Amino acid sequence: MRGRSLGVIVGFGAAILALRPIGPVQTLLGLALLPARVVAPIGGLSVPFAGAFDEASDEKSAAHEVELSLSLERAILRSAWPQDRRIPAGSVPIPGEVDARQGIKHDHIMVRVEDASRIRVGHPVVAGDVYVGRVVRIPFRQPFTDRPGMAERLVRRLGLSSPPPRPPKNVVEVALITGAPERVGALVPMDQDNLPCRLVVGGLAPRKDRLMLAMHNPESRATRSGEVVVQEPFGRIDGFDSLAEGFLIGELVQETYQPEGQPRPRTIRGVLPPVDFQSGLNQVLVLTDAAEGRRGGASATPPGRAGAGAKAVPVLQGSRWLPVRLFGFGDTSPWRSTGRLNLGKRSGLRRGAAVITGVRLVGRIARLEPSGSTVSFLGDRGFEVDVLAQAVADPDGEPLVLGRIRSVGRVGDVLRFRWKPQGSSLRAEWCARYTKKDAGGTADPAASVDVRLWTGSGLVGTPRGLLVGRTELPVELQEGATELDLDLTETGSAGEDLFVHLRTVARATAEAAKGAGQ
Amino acid sequence: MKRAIGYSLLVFWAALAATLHLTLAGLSSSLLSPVLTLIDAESGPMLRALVPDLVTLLLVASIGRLSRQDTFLIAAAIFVGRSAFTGSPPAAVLAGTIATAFLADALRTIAELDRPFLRVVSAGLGSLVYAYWLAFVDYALAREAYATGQLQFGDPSSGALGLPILTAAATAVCALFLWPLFTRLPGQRRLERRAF
Repeated sequence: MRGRSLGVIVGFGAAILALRPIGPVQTLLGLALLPARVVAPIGGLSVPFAGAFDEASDEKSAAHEVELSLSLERAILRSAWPQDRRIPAGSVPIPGEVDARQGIKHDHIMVRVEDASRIRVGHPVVAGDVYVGRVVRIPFRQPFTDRPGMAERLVRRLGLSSPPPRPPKNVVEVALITGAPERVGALVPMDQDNLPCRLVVGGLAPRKDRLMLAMHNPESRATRSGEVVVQEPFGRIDGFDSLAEGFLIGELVQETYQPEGQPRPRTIRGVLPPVDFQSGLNQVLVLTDAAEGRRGGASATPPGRAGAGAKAVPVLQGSRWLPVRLFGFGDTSPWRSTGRLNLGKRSGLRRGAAVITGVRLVGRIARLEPSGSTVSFLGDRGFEVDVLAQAVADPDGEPLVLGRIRSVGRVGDVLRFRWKPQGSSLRAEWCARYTKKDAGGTADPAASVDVRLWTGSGLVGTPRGLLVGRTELPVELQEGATELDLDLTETGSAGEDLFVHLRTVARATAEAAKGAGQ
Repeated sequence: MKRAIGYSLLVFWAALAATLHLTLAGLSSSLLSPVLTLIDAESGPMLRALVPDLVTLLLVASIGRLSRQDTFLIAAAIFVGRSAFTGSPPAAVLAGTIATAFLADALRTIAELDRPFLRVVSAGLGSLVYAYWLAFVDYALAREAYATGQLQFGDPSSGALGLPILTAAATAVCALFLWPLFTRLPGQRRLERRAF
């Protein structure tokens, strides 16, 4: 009976641990399962079925995809620079790539910049012509405190936990304009009656169906529409937002909205931003002031939009990749599509790391053990990835940010992903560029654009510029539809030579590698 | 020592059963790939779901044959063998395996599991409990990850809810035929306890 009681206790404990994972206990469980590695190679029997549905990619097409990925990177670097707005004289723009978000701070993004020495808290951040937010924290300049308690010290001594890593020196935290406490002075230069109107924008308007920025204290209540731009006349005294003066915030609209559980619809005025704040930010510019620029050392002349692409580094050289072997394919749960890899935590892998073949994304690391890991393939239900769409006909053109897509699974020989377009996406405009029009200049609503989908920024362990697949992107949604199914071909095959992402290398190292032609 | 070898062999058989499960799943999908192109998205997982859960069958058969005192140790050995073949969290796999083991043990109090009806019921019910438990854990973790902005893979949508029933049915049918084999695997004799 003692064995049964122990079983009941262990069973309940494991059930609670499964729903509320505790790091050190999971590490302990991983160590306890090390003997299972002895039997794991038996799983090799299932490996021949890996990639049975995927079309193999030849060397020529793989090399072409590397070129396409580099073209995309150039286009993204260019897209951070304003096209119609002007960076004020004396301001030094610092380009930065959007990094993974921190926990539940949905209104904050981490930005990895080339040189953080001249950036100060309060500097505005823009993406193309659009004002995005401002720098609120520079983690490495803050005192690093790590005072573990007695239990934590013991756990660390046993090797079950490790101290938090020191923040990297080139990462800054940016508060987006969508955050509740954020405010920026704004101006509608010309409303529906050709009159100007000053106002304050910041936070979100109270509606659940779409992302709309809230407007506060408008100068005139009659203003209902018009373009909203940043206007901070006193920014030099109180913050740095005047550096982003004239940058676009969005389009002022007045709409009728039926809130849930309310008897009557209400009229809401707000600002529709032209970017997808949730997953649409890839490359941004931090606008620093000239005085700080001089103090930080001689600044090189900013390359501007035209020259920005020259600094592009191919995705395979911008990160360190390790060759990895698949020794188990498939999952005993029928709704999942996973595989076992021979490298784990000891090799330096981390959860979320991309597994690739060529530049094609095959999957991401879902579970880590000391000496092995589980990869979740693209066909795994619930597999999510942020993507950019690049028209096949124009590989040098600016990509369209689709945002997050979620895997539904495999349908025959294609992978089906579900995409929920954000209300603020620029899809219609972007598609119009690549859609054939009739003599009258109108596009066929049933038309679609042939696109390749690439990973976007901000994913843990997954750099941007990896090919997710190729699909047809419909120009218009069907009446009443809020989701779209995207059937992907040209996806990564688990049956080929696989590599796993280890870490992103410094840009200087990557450029040296690029120069050496590695 | 004798029992240690017996449990080691049980771990090996569990790993082999899991591999056989994955191989059959891959084989069924490959053989039926021309059909898959003609039918809808649910077909892929559905074909995989029709493959019997051989590890649960091994667990239930072992519990049916061996002493009730050893239920927990049998579950632990099966857990070690199967944990390397799934993307679900190890704690969830352990809890599911123990729950299945105690369910089979409870059924054993009614009658010997060797009887065809109880074979079918214990194997089918065990497979159902195990699969739904893992689906529940995946679902709960996915919801929590969505709310907290953490990384999560595997989210059984509503379409996946029927799949464990198919697996359970396939496992139950297989229990009728494979039970004698699974109760006579090499090494199981070493785990038997003498009544007198």
